[in-house]
Amino acid sequence: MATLVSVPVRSMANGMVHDCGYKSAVLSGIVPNAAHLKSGGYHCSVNDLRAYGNGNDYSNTRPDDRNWNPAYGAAVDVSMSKADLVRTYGRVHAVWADHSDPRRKYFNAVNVWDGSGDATRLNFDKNTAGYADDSHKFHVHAELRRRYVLDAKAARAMVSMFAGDSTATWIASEEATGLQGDDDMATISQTDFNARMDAWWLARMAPNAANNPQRTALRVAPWQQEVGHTGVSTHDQLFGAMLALLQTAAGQQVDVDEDAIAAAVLASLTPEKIVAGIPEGIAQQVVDLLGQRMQA
Amino acid sequence: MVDSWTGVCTGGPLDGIQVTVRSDPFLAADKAEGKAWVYGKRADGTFAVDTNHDDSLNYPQGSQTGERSLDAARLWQAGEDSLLDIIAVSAGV
Repeated sequence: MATLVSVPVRSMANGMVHDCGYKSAVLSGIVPNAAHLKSGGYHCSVNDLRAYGNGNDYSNTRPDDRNWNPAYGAAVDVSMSKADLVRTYGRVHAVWADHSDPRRKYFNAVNVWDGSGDATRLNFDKNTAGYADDSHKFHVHAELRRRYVLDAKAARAMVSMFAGDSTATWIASEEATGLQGDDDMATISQTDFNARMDAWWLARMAPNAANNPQRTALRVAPWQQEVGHTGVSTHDQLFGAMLALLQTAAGQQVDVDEDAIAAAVLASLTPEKIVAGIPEGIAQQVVDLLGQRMQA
Repeated sequence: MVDSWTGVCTGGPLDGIQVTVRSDPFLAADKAEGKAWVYGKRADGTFAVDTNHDDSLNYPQGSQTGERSLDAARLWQAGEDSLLDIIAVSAGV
């Protein structure tokens, strides 16, 4: 037997190490070593649990774990400096403590350390904070529920939590992803859509949100935003340049001889030209009628 | 419960620090500086940095500090395989 690493779980590990702002973070475990195989747990696939006599251990009991995706492991270890471990604790604890956070459903438990006393096992299924052994004063251990080890969204949820994203930011980022091709966006109600977009907007505009040029641009009221790269705002374009153009146009004096225009138009109208513009079926009738009237 | 060992380290960046690790030997890795050290358990229960290798690429003058160059790809593979515990060290982080 062997435990496989799914693409989402490897992506999750990569994100936890490289994309969450932990300068010291290094990967320190995915697939089980001999000790894991002996003791069981989420590093082991269900197949390996069975092969080593642990098929009914704690990691393969609950409905979201029991015999799901039996070839794959479901845990990642990331070693960090004490400062980064403490930072991680705060971010993970915030999601663990918020029972309404939608990311929680993907996680079983995360072992973290707040920098003093024992390390803690934050269990998202039982909503408990228990003891974790001292090796977790040097690394974080993160478990997905086994049913989600092939789910890219679950992996993104873990990375999002480790990055310290707020609930609103997580929802907004997933909605942004959904708008680019997630079919379930097509079925949501307008009210729900509006609520999600409001959440996205508020998350992007939060005073404590990290800044970047795109966000800075969005923080400007629409009418104050620049038109292309002209250095001119919409407001100035409408009420400055365009107004001046309108005022100039309104002030112009146009000298028009209406009688001369009418005479020129009428002089060009011969019966032949009029007939040329009439449908063929009634052309002869019109010619006859015009001829009678001109003679009269 | 996974097997683990606890002991005080001597030498290298973990000198004087007590660690609990899941493998013997284990690796100390400074990602920011691109450096690594291998520690092994001694009979007295301490972990000593391994200086028994050629680190002349880092120290052409011949110093034996135990310091090794960190290969990011190999570090990742070691982590993914869970065969060698890794302690992250990083000054000022």
